Amino acid sequence: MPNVLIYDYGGNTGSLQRALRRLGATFDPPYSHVIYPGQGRWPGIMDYVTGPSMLGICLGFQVLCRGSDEGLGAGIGIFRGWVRKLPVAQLPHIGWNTIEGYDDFYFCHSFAVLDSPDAIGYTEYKGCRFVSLMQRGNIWGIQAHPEKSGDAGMAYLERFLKC
Amino acid sequence: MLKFRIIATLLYDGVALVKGERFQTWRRVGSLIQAVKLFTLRGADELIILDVAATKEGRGPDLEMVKRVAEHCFVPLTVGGGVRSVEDVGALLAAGADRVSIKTAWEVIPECAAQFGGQAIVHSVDCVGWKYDAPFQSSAGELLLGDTDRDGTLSGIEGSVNVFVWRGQPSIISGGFADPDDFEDMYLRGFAGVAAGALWQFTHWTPDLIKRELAQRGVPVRV
Repeated sequence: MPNVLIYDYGGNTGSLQRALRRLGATFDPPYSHVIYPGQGRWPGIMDYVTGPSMLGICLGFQVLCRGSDEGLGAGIGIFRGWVRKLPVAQLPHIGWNTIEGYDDFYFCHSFAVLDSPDAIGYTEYKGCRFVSLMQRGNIWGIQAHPEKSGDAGMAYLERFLKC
Repeated sequence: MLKFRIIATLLYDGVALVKGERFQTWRRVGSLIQAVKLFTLRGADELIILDVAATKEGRGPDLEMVKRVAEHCFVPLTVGGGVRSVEDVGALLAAGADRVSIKTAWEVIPECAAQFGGQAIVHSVDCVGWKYDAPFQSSAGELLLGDTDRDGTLSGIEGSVNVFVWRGQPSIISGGFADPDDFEDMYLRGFAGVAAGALWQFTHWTPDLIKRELAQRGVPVRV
């Protein structure tokens, strides 16, 4: 059974916990999976934790990148790419959008990585294409909120818990 | 491509799910949790729960209700009603809301957006004809425009076209929508989504059916 550490840096992680519990995850050490959740604001340089399998969601995904224009903070730097404000007229990007070649997910953000060698999926919003999925081995990142993306999101989390 | 959102609005009076007309004459129509499960199953892209009694009764948001609802909700959940302070917003987010809608106490929106990020805040604005009950708050991530005069009437938008989409930030709209034509109209005007309540309670339309109809007309929806 996967044991998940949801790294708490001051956001609301209730939805994520409920989704993971529904998939049979528990939350006791030793941890097999570490998740950086997608709530709150850019925390800047911080202590970080690692695990055999890691997943960053939304802001948590951005934290795993090299850094961000939001608050000019350095990131953990696992993923290659810098987080920028989306160059579009209307922000935030809120709602269901397609991760190309995959499925529809729920997004809620204003910042994103525009390109990266680690990208495995992209999403388009108002003419701007940004990275919505990244992967390096057992380290995953998603700009959307799988815990709020209905069946598609549950399937994504389930696959992560199996890796 | 960003999808046009079909949202279910659930009105709550502190005890049960209610239905009103023009935000008056509340009638209890069932259990909130049942409705949450049902609408999620029937393809609602988001749920908005408004506590219509909180401000009137001078109490804050019902956090226990939000916790119970969030347990069954795996699509985005927006909660409003009786929100007056940064502390209220924090408590609602901690209880499981993804976004918090603020109407009466709109002056606190900039402070809440600074604290929790604008994407967590919805500014709910009453509009009757061209009259708005508050200046649009640019720090909120989204506007929810509602027409109190049409709410719950299922009257359609014919003859009451005085709604315009604000380009500053995404806007969703609610109140009185009756059929797919209304939804398509709102899409063509540039709204990010439509929130409906009575339509799902009292007609054969479900979010799924509306979306299938819209998809055939070329409106991008999540099906």
